[in-house]
Amino acid sequence: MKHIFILFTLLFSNAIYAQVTNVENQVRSYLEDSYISDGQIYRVMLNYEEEGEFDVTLFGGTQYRIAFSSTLSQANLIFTVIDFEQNVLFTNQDFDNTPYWDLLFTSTIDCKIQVKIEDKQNRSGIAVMMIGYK
Amino acid sequence: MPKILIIVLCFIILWGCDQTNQQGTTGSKSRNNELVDTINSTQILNINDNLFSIPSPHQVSKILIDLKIEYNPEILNPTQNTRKYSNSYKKALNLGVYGADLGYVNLYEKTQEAITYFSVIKILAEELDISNAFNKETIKSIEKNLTNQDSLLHLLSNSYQDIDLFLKTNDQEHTGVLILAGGWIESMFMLTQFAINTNNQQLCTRIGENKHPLSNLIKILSKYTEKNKIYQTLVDKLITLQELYDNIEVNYTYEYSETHPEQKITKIYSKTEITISKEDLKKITTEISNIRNFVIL
Repeated sequence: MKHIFILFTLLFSNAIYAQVTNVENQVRSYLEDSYISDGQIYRVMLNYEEEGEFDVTLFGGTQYRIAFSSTLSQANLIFTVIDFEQNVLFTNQDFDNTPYWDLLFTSTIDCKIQVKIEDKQNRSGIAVMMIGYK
Repeated sequence: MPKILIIVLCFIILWGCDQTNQQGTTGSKSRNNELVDTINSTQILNINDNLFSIPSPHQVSKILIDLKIEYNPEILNPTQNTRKYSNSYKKALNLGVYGADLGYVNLYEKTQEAITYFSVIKILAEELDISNAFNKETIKSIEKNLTNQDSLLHLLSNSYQDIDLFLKTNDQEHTGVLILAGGWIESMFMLTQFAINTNNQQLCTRIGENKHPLSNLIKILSKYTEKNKIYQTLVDKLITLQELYDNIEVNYTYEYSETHPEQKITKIYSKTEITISKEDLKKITTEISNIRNFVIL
């Protein structure tokens, strides 16, 4: 019985890992060939009504692509870029919760990227973000 | 016993079927709670509600090529230094350093140097037991594209992303943090050295703009100070640097953004102005050089 439990745990973990990997590949595809990744993959586990926050510095004269996806394919993933004075610079809520958007910065700005998952069934999920630039 | 096995296998098969059909289905609340529990218990993921980003070293040094700053090989960490790195912490830090150096030589289209630096990166990755993060196809593509500047930059960024992912999924985030730190320190070393030598205002501004990334780096490294004394030493040195950065004036003005929905782009017109005195620039340059020496020697 113990061995079956271990086998089950291992297989289940691998399946979850595969699911997260699929999400990561999905986000990677949003960056396309024209954007160079910043070399990091940002993942955050979000419970119902929780919000994740990413602290970023986005350099002037650079065009960025912010891309997201989550393990809950049917849920809405909302991301918002705000400055440190809490001004909203962009939110995908204004654009049908699009999974990616380009931001062109004329000057360097320290920002926060906030993310939350809106799910009718109040489930928890993992949000994955990547930042590309050109 | 066989009955249990059949039930378990059926569950796994059903779960797998559901996963392939995830576009059209929504799982139950309980299954997702199981997912969260399993992730928590297996530590597959770093669970955190606040994450910090460090700019890519390639992105930081790209400004050098944009400003037509002359190539200077003396700025690089010599590949012969590799043999000095006897512990995994120094190896990880210098994997970041050499990644930044490879980005630099690649930007200046120095193919032979790129080959040498890539070889060293491969060796360090193997010694750190993270060479699995590079798949064979990626290595082949990098080797094929050592003369193709744009492709190589993409491949290198993706490789560092693969390493980042590999370390996060294998509960070795502390190693990933050192790679990030090494890359940032090396790129800041380049910026400060060129800023001092050329007196270029844009380079000085870029140094000042790294005030916030420095603060993020300290926060990230601080999570691991109990792991090994090298983290505490690095944090202490970076805090000394941060004290110098406190003299830099940063003024931010919010301006309305302009969005073009058809192109899926928003232009941000808010502005940050950086004021850094020559004296502070000198002090910062000296301090970054000290930190870099601690890392590479």
